[in-house]
Amino acid sequence: MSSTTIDTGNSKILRSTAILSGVSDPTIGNIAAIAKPQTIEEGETLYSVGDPARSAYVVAAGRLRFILGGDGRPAAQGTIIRAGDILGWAALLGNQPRRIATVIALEQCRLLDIDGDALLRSLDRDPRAGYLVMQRLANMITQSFLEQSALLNGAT
Amino acid sequence: MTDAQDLAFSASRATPKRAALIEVRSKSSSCTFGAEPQEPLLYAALRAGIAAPYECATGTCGTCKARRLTGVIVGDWREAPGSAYLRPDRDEVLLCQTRALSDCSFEIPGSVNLASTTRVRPYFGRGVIGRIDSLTQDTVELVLELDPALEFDAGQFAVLRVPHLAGYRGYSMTNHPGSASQAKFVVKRKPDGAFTDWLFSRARPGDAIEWFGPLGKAIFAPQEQRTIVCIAGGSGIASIMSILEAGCSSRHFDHFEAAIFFGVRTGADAFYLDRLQRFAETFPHMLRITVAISHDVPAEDMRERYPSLTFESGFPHEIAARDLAGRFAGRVGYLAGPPILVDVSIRMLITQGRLPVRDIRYDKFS
Repeated sequence: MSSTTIDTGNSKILRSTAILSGVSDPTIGNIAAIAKPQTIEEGETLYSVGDPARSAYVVAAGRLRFILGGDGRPAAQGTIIRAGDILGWAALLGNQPRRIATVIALEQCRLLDIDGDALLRSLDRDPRAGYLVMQRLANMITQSFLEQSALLNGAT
Repeated sequence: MTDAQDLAFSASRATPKRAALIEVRSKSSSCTFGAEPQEPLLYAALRAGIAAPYECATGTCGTCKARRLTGVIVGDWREAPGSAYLRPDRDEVLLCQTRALSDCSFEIPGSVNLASTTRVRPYFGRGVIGRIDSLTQDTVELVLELDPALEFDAGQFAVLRVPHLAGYRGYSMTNHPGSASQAKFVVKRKPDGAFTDWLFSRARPGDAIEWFGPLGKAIFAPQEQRTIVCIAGGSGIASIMSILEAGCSSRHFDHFEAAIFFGVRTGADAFYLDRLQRFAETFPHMLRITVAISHDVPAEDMRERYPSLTFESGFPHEIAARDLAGRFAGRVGYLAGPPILVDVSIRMLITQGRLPVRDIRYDKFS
């Protein structure tokens, strides 16, 4: 497969990802160029708790399970990650060098592996895209925090 | 007594007369075992000493997912929450909700090692209700007289079932581990919960309950000689009570410190305070027990009545993070209670406590 074909395919997948919606074509192209297509089989672990958080992943096809802690144990919420979702965004946070969850494929999955540092450099070169992505990342973290607070308030 | 005679549940459907031969394989190992017609396949595997993956054993978590390769099966709970992780078009099932109507073979995803390291294989038993004692407005202590005795380790749980209601529910034993002819459980009433509706309104001493256990991996073993931190919410204190009983009776807390954080919504939701006070009085320098009240200010009379306990406002994991800041190293963490509390406590212990994952123990079966 040629790199041009990969980039075109990668670009299409990236454009369908909500966190990159509205990002300019050149920047999508730059991110597509650093994205590495990856396939993992059912039952395989993408990453485990404690692993270095180097990459973020965009799901092109398939479902994965997000698991807190070790031993393959389930989290209470948000446990299934689907096509169009991004995961492993700790790679975009400077102060979070290690994974705090484990992700296992529920079926064969196609992913784009995007190096966190390289992605941040691409966003540095396009501040509007950087602002959009960081705003959405902040919203995702806030939403996660609010959902967690609501669940905690209702649970104990 | 044979395995078949050990089974203690009532058959309600037409089923084959003999045990089915079940083959399970993963990428790295395979095994075979027999399953009685009325028996969930997960329970049959665990009873045979096979380390089939599981967490709740009651259809919620999806951990016991497997793909049927051959054979005839029947599902007991199609709407089980754990079904969200399945692809029915690929014959995926939850082993805890599936029974075999013929010899069958299954594939478990991933490289699961099916060789068990469990000290006690779980088994079926019968029991009758000895007492139901009210703890709070919506929580009771259920005392079961068991036949046979239940052998378990501190921190483990069992699944319970009443003959006229479908399905098992998981509850931790609160009492001292060992081989117990009596087991105590904390049961919180659930909205529209068939089992708890029955238990809170119609159950009487002498009523029959069937059980399967012991289950769970969040085991406290004094011989590990470790300091511990326990974070529990509501009825999750049950397994921590067993750990405290074991730690006190073995004099573990003479040498190893323990910090216990018990979360409740309001002061009125707190229970077992007399027992917790006795534990804290026995080991005043080594055992610190904090009652974390998340939606209320601790009443002054609670502090006066239980001077050996600490009362604070907030969630237990937040108070633990603050109180133990810089002092988590070397501890084993035990977590119990609502899944969201377990989740946030795991995050706290990993990110703030810097505990290795192998030292964080919990079983999610709510």
